[in-house]
Amino acid sequence: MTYIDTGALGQRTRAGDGRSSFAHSVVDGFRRMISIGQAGYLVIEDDCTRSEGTPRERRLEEIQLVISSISMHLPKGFAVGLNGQFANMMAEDAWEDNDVFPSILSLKAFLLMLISTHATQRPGIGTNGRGSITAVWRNGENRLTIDCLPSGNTRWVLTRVNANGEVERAAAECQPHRLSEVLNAYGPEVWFGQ
Amino acid sequence: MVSEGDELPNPSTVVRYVGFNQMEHYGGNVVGPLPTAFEGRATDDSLSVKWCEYFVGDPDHQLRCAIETIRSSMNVKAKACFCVARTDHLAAAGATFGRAPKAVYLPVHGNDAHAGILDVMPADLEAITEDELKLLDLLAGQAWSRFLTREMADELPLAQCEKSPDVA
Repeated sequence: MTYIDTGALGQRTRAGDGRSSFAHSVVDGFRRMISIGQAGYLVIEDDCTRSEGTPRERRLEEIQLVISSISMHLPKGFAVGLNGQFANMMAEDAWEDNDVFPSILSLKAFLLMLISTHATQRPGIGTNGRGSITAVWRNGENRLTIDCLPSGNTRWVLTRVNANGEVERAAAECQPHRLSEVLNAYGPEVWFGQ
Repeated sequence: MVSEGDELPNPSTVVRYVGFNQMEHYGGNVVGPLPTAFEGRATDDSLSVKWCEYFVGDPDHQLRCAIETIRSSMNVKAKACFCVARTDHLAAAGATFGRAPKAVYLPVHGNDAHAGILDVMPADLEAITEDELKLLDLLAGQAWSRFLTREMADELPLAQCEKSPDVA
């Protein structure tokens, strides 16, 4: 089992807090694997058949398991593609030894972000090296980077060329379920597709 | 003559090691660095780089020498990249957001070409401001947009790397 200090995650993610049904589905997907333990810790049920491997390999497997568990809420092919991207990013010849692994709470924010924004284009992924998962979309000069943080929040920055050819830059921090509304002013279909 | 603690001649060329997980990539195709690549570490006072003109030779040769010093001083992953910037471009990006980035020669033991970029990192990595996010994005998208993969670096000319007579 893996223990993660999350504070009051369980209370914050319960139904009835005004978030979309999609978001609740994601949370439900997590609950299949994650339960609230004593003293505010999450308990992640490890796959008993896979106790070997390095910590990096085990974290990758946890990430892929969570993604697969909510694949029905993502566009067709997303889960397989994302799992491949994480495998690529966390491969031995790619992962920086001093970097903190992407946290499960970052992953939760990442998946809520994908569902909240209705993205039909898969992002490129990365990390800040401190447990986050970074998503990036690029379309010509238009770029959107969303860092999904271990706190469960997202920190985003964008460069957008408007209809007059002027470059606009914007940035902020918000909860993942707010992203769709917050980014709406910048024509996010250029990144997320229709 | 440039001595320890001096500002690098402007413009100078600097190179920074960036792990694959901080490069924007789609499949095996690397597009450029992510803004997070230039956040630095909380323990650092400056953004750690190598100064190319520390070495004699033409620009490609100097760049190769700087990359070789990185390779000899740390565990370089096969998919990692080397991002390249000019100090005047870093200064211009910083000025956009009220910063005054300055490249300073900061040799360390066994790493004589080391330099640091001051006043470019976020003040608090746990509470990065909107302007700091925009600066990081501008740095990644413009000033640091040139990068080399391992294969590209290996194609640069390699000869003996000698310290420039202009460095103390």
